[in-house]
Amino acid sequence: MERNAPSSPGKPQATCRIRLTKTGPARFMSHLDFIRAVERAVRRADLPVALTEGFHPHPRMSFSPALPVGVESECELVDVDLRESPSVDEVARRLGCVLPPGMRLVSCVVLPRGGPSLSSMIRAASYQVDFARDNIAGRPDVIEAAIEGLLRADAIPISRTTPKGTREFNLRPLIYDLRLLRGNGAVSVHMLVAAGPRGHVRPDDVAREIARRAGLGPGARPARIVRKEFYVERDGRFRPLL
Amino acid sequence: MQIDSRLLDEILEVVERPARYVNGEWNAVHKRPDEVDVRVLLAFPDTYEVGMSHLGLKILYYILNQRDDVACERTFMPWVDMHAAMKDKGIPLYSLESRLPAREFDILGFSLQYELSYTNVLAMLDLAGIPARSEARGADDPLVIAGGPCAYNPEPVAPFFDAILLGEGEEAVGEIVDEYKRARRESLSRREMLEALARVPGVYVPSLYEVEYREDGKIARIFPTSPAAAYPVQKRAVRDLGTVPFPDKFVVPFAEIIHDRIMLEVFRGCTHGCRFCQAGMVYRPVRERDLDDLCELARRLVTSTGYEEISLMSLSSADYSRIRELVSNLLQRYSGSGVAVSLPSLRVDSFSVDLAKEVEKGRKTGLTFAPEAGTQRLRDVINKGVTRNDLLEAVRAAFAAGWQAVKLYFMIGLPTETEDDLAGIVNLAREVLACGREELRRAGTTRSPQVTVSVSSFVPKAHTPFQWHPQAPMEELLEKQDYLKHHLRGRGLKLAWHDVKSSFLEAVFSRGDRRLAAALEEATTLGCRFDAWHEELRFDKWQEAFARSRVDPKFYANTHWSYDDVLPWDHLSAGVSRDYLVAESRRAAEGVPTPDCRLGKCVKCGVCPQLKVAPRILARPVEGVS
Repeated sequence: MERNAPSSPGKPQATCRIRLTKTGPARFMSHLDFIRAVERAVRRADLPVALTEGFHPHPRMSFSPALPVGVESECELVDVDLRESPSVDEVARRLGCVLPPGMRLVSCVVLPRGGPSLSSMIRAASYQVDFARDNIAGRPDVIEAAIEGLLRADAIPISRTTPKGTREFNLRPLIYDLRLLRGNGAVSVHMLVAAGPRGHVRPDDVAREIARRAGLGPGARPARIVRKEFYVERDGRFRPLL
Repeated sequence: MQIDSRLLDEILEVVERPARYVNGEWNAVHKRPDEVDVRVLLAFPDTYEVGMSHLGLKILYYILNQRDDVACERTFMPWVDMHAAMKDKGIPLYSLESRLPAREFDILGFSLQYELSYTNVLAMLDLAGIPARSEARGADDPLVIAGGPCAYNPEPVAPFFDAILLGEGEEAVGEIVDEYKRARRESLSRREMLEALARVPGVYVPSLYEVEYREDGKIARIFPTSPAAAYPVQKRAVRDLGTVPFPDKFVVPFAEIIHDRIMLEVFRGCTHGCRFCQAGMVYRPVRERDLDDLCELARRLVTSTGYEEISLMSLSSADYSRIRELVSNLLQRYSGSGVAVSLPSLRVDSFSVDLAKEVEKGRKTGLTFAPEAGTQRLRDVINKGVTRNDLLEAVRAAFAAGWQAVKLYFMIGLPTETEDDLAGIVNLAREVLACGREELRRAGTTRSPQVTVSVSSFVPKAHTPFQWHPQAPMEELLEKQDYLKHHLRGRGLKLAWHDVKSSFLEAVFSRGDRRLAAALEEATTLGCRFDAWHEELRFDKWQEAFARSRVDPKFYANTHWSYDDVLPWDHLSAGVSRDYLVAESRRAAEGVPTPDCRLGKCVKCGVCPQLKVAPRILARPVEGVS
């Protein structure tokens, strides 16, 4: 048996950036649950992960911004620091078969060390909001009007209640785009909103605001929300991160 | 027929911690329930987080699902908000794996870990749409069975169960399934099926016994009403743990649970013989697992779960005769890969502290010791073989090794306790604190020690030498708590205590008989559930329930019973002989300790000859060498 000294977690050689879904049952995981789930999957995959220093080393990883519990995602990003530079295929093969339902490996790239971190790159995120059909059956125009109203507004005051108290802020400058998606009789809204250091929008806040303006009562069934993509900003334009 | 998943998903959007109600956790077993002979639903009458932390559930889930003819699924008591929402929307209790209503299973197996979960059992049966009383259930209803430590006196819940397994389930659970299959194949009536089950060793079928009461309320006699019913029912014990399966896969939950780690059971049973301790009596004899088996299990579990911690479980892990080798082997193999090792139960000695030092490394959150009583006299009464010196030596070692917080567990209301014993708790705590100050100063740190004294109230338990003893009345326990609150003040001292009301209820049911079933039904009707959760306990409702069902709870909790009395559990045997319990009870009264049978001298508790199982200890301890 090979003996690893506890104080030598291994210098990272490469960073593996993976893109995972968080759908189905996995959407109910909190961000902390999700972090733990990825750590455990990485351990099951037996990847050569670099560990943090200290008495209780754990895998060196960083995550894209937290997702509210219940919101799904097709684009959760995780950077995993590795002690070796394995092939992308190898990582995908090992990780692909040890993920729980709802967490699917979408893609993965191996990056050289020293690149910018996820948190420093992310500027925006897109979401799709599906309004329950029976709430607005045959009336996409109501939603469309609500969207237009939102985009025209100078300010969209939002209050968020946390254990520390209630905070008011203006949502409007953080909303970059809202579009109605038609098709298959479903009524969905595509939204592009701020994410990352300059401000972070909770998609459920926007969905609630649309629902309110569309006159859907508080008893209406909640919308299904899916995070679709993270964006970086380059040359004044948003481009998908991975 | 699955439950309405759309309706369920809507509720999940609004309840707290929805991840505990969905399927698909890693390593969960998915079979097609319509393609197996027997569907078993393991039901844990507490939250998912508590139930999933229970090793017994993992073991049975694994063993049952190894069989091709069985689909074994899980269900838990939904938390208050979920329970209300399910009632509101008409969603019945369902299994996680297939989202199948509980009543569509063949067998429902409840785990009875503590008395205060009994109302949850009734709430779950109610939510499942299954009649609570065994006698009201028909051929279309599932067989409702139970197991776990409360099975050693299940009388308060006896009318609710078709059958109850005493003791270890690894072997018996398969025999129960086989018997169930045979009964169905031969189209036996419900009664015939129950009689068939009663013939499985260790299985107690309450409806095959009758209880007669005396005028003064005590039990006149308990007798079987069928030739199939054994008297007494003898608990099951596995001869060699190495010969029965231990899961090499654990379900890894989506949401964090209480014990969210690999639980490696290093041995079963305990030889210390503390006289208040039910676990120490009923899990006898001690049986250690092989060192190599444990290492191999650890390896497979790390690979299959990805967990970052291996917890070495047992009633007193440092007793494992090859603990040193086990710990160093695991540390050597895993410390480089970010997998930690932990020891949940520590003896009061410096050997244990050394072990803790080895595994805990820099964590040093706090160490817990359980001297249980404040004076040597009382520690001799309860047979807690720990001296003041042992404790001070252990805490000195702990503080010297860098710990600054120490927690001490004590019990109040123990038989023969006087004010001296309470003063003893205060003195010991102060001595420990002084010791901490000295050691930390010597180490040159400016940090100050913290000593937390945690006091629980003595609860008499069936099959222990203290089973005849009453619990002290609630008022008296409160006075004792007040005494400690008053005297354990000051910098570096903290006191934590248990609610006397819940200890009282625990005592009522731990020594209860079948007449309490009505009170349980009343309490559940009045809305009692999650009684073990401090903020959910509704004691006023409980008092109303006792009044309505005309039972006096103090009769059970606060009355001294004599050796001649018929006890509610006299027809059930944990293997430990009555003579031994009486002898131990007398030795307690005289303050005479009884040595640990690990040291080589048999204490004649009767378990080994009774069960034809021998203690299994890998290496005999050598006195003075650890």
